[in-house]
Amino acid sequence: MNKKQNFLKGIFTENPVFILLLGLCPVLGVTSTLFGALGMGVAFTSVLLLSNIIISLIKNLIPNEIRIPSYIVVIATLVTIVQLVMQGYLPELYDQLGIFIPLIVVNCIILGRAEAFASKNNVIDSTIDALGMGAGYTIAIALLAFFRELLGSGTLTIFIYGDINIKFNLIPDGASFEPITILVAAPGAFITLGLLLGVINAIKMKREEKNKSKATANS
Amino acid sequence: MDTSSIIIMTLVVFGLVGFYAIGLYFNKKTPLPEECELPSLKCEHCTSVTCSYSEKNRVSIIKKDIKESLKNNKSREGALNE
Amino acid sequence: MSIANLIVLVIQGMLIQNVILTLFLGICPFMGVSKKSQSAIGMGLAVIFVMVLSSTITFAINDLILEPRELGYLQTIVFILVISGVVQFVEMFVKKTAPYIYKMLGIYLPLITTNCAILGLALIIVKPELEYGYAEMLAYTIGTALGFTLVIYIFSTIRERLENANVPKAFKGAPIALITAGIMSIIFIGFAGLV
Repeated sequence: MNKKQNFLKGIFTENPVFILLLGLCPVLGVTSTLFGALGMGVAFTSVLLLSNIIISLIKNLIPNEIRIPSYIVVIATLVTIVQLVMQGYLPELYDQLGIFIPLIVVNCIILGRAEAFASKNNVIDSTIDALGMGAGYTIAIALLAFFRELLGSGTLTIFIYGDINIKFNLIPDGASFEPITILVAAPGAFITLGLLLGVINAIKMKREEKNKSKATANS
Repeated sequence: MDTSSIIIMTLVVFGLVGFYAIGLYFNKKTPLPEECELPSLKCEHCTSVTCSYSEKNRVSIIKKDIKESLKNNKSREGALNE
Repeated sequence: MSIANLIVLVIQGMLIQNVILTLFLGICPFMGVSKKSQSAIGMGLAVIFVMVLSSTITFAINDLILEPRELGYLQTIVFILVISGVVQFVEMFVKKTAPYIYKMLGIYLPLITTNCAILGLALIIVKPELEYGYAEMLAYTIGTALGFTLVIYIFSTIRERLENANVPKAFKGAPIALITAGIMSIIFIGFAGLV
């Protein structure tokens, strides 16, 4: 597997959210605004990247008996660092993500990648793997948040920090248009993700059919 | 932060790592009760590494069992030959 | 703290702030172990046991060691290690002493370590603004665990029927299950004015 394939597999064939259905709790919990989703994506990617790098570097130093406990300590330490940095420098984002930042620890993707990839490959491959998986995760939750926020409140929030507030209001003033408020509430998370997964399944099935008919035409 | 806090912090974290490592070790060593078989699942999606549900995490135990039974058979054969 | 307040906390944890449908914790077992109602009950009972046990331990550690020393930033590391260790010991203990119970519930115990509902609850109950004591903590934990079991059981019975339903091919499996969960979540919004 070359480096490009290694990167792209995290986005398409092994997308952690849409294909593997892993780590759905934050996917549902933080996607009521695009800002929260992008922040979660960055936090997740940085923890995954650092844990993959550290674990691929120390993999030969750890005795086998305490391998998993040490991985958990490494990941939990990184998560705590990210949490404290975010609390200090991006308080608005910290408030929005709340409990889902410490919960990155139990996200099956991170420990799974540490065990399945970083503990067997070198630093460069592990870095690429982490970047690909992180990009796939960020794209997936940003897509979900895009639909939820756009249809649910008619806005797109990109960034909030102190006075800086980059937010597009897509409903013109005075227009009599009601957004689908249920989509930004709790039920909307489930429904939007269900619909998105269904659409992705439909696209996948169509592609497979096309490939099949191509294969039969060739033979 | 005073020294005693740092000492307690280190003790707590290392103690808990030990606690978890011991738990993992003994749990893997404890055999399953008789007549109780885990459903064999080849979980492809979930990548949990401590879950004894998934087949790939049980390989080491199965290997050990085979080795032990081989050893027992050998010693038995040895006893028969004598 | 009166009994009435504790009952209110149980109901709050179980219905109003349902751990799956409004807090979005524990989605993995909710989607993974809900295909049969029997396994959903097994998972629910295992979660009740582990949740009450581990929440009590983490709450006590936070109360006795971390808070007085101002080591609150260690919460994540300490709690995940405690929960993982407790699950391993519980599994070993049940295997040795009660094979019958292990046969019913044991296979769900390992899945619990990566269950974010357990760590999530442990982190929620130590929030300083809630000012929970031991009794309130226990009431809220029991309510949350019961709420988890209730929802996963209802959901599994619905999914058993969905198996035979005429669903578009692309929506079979996870997509239609998620949409069903969304409709259940709408119903649970109705509990919001209960207390």
